[in-house]
Amino acid sequence: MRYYKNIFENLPFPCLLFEKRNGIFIIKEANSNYCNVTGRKKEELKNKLIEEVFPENPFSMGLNEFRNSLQIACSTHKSHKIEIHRYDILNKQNGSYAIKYWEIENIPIFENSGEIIYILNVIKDITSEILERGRCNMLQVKLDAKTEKHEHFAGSISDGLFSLDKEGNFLSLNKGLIEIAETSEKDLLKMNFLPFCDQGDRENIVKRFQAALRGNNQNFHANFISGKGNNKFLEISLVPLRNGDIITGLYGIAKDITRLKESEEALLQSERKFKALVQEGSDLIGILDIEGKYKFVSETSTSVLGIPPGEFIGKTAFDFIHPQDQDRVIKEFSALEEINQIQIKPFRFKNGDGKWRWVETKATNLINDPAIDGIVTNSRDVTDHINSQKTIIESEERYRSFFENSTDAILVTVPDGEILAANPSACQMFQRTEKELCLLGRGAVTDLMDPRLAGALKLRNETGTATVELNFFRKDGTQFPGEITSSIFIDSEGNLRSSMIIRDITERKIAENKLLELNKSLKINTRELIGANKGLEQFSYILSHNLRAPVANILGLAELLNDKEYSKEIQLNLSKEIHKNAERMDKVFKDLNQILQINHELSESKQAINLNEVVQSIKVSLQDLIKRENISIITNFEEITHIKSISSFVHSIFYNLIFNSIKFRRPGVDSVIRVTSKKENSTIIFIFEDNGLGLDLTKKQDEIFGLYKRFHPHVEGKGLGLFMVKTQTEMLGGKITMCSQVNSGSTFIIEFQDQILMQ
Amino acid sequence: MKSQSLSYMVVDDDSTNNLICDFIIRKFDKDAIINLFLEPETALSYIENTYSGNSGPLPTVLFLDINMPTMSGFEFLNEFNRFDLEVKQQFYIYILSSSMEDFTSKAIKYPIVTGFLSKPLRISTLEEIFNHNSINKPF
Repeated sequence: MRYYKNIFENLPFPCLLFEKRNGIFIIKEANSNYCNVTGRKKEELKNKLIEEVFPENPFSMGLNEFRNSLQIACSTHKSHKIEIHRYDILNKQNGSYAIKYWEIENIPIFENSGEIIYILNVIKDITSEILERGRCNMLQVKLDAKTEKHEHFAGSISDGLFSLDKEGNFLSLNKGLIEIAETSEKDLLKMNFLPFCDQGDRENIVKRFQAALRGNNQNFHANFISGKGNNKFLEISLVPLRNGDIITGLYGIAKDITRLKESEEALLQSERKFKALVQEGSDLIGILDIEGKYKFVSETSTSVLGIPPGEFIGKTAFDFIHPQDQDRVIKEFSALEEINQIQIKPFRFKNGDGKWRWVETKATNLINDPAIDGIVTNSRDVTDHINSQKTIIESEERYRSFFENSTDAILVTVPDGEILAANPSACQMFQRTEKELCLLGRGAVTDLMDPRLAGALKLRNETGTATVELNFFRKDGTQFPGEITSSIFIDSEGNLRSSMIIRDITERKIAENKLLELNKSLKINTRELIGANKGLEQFSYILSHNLRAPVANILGLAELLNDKEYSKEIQLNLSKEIHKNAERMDKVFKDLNQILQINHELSESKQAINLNEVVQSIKVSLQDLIKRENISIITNFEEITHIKSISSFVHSIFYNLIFNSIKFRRPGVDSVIRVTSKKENSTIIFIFEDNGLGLDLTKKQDEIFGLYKRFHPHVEGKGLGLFMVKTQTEMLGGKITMCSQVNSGSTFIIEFQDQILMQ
Repeated sequence: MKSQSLSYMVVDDDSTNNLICDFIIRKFDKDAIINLFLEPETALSYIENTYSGNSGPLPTVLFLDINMPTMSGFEFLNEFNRFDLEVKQQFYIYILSSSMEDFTSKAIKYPIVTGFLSKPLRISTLEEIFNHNSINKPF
């Protein structure tokens, strides 16, 4: 027993040693490994019945099976194995159970007498394997038939136990080893282990053997050859045998895993398949009971959530879920009563740091699967995904909000004109629903005849964006001016799209027009002011020259008359001069009145004027002169027959120009005066042409229309006519120019912008 | 003062003014040689013909109007300036205008003008002219 105690303590598996006393098995010893796995202390276990230490619990498959196994091992003298035994370990601290599956083997130990007093109980935690298998089942990945065969085979084979001396000779062995070695006990006890080693592995095996002799436990796989020449792949455990401090030999366990290796390979194969199916890594597997309490959590919980699996056991899964998500998840979870598998939409789950992680879970109801008896949850941490999704949604939301709430109309279109989306402002602006707009396209709202459209599209094609003013249509047919900014962009799917942001600028246009009108009236006011100022200048000129001159003359003449030494004749002559100058003064006053009248007449309203009628009436008023001097007045008003203007002004302009031509006719030449109306672009032109005296204009150009300017000393006149023509033309918004050459006649040209004479 | 007979020219399109000037000058200097011109062009050719290459200087007082139809008084002066210095030296030019405007700027522009007078011409004005300018007179 001394040996065995040592062997036992150092066995790499969790082990109990049962002693049979009066037909009852009592725990004699437990090794450290066992204590670690079960969370029990040696003192708690020693000299107890198994059911005392591990009482029946809701998650136990029953201790009867266990006790039976011990009996079988005892009576058959062969080790007995329980392949899967469910016994959940109670966590004494929180009172919860951790799901556990065990492989249990009871190996009888023979006394020299052949009697069996001790049973070595070796257990193996196979929870993960079972759950893995559950997952495989869950995914309907069937294990290879080989696996099943192996399990059957493995179940019928016992491990070989043996001891070796320092040279490697067998000192003791059990039946298991005889079966593995396929050599009789007798022969084996005379043999060394070396002949059984496979050629290729021998060196390694010897090294292991020597290392064990130096005091290091060994656990390795190696190829051996049996006495019958069969290849055996064995799992070997070697533990030094100590006598006090001296190592005297080795104790070993040989486990034939030849078939296991094969089936493990098959399992690995299906494992890989399985792993490919379920995205591994971040997956977290849990098993919940029907109430949602954790029975098992995979090791990944530490890496995924920062919480070791043990902390979950017995706790309700829902308690880890964010209060806002709880009700939904519980509701979704409850569907498992009817459906086998559900996908629970991402919810927040508290991790080890107390932070919320987004988790997506697939839950499968395997309550009816005795191996599982629970709901298997497959969870993934999708926080990063959700966050990036959230960022996208938020920015989407921002744009959406901008789109929905913008007071400008916004359309998303295909560049050829199809409308894909329209915001509420667009619907309001165009009096159409979004559906209508999408159906009708851009052509229904834009004025396709707008001359600015082509330029805008061209600009947009060239630069990607264009801001222009265009006319738009409402559903009721009304038109309105809008400012549109259109840009071409590529959407997330790579399609070419354009945005149209349209602002109704009717009010702005009204304001602009008002401003234009204000400007116009300001211009008129300014012109009037300038006119008035000019008038004042002219007035002061008249006062200083034309009025002052006769006054000065009268003064001078009067002083001369005071001198009595002049003869009666001279005195009479002086008196006549006084009279003449008084009359001159009177004329100036009359002219002044006429000039001042111009401003008064400007307030007259415009009316349609027939140009032929104007000339006709002038001909009538000048008929005596025309007849006497044989003057021809030829008119051509074919291009412009009518104008709209102030009648008295037009009459005065025509009269003065015609009269001017008659006045300065060339003596000895029949006077011909031509009056023509023309339109060039948007300008209306009147031409007055004569064959009269003409003028050398090189010096006089700016003075020709001045008041009281006379250029012909022998011709009657006071220089008022052309001054009046110019003043009145300018007051009507036109301009007058003259060209002339001495002895070849003069031409006066009056120009108006057509809108002045047409509106 | 009146001992010396002077030559006088009046250039004005206003015949009444010429008439008045004729009477006043005659009253001031009964021996005066007076030439009246209604057209400035005629006056210019008269000066050209009479004053260049003459045997001795013929000091002349010229009264010039400004507002005339074919040529203003200032245009007349521009033409007059082209004459030889010996011609110009024989003249004392006075602007005689009915205008009441300020001729200060014009006076700077036309230094050839001795003075600016306001119509009508009076005996007192002539007396003033001669008293004022006696020192500068060559006669």
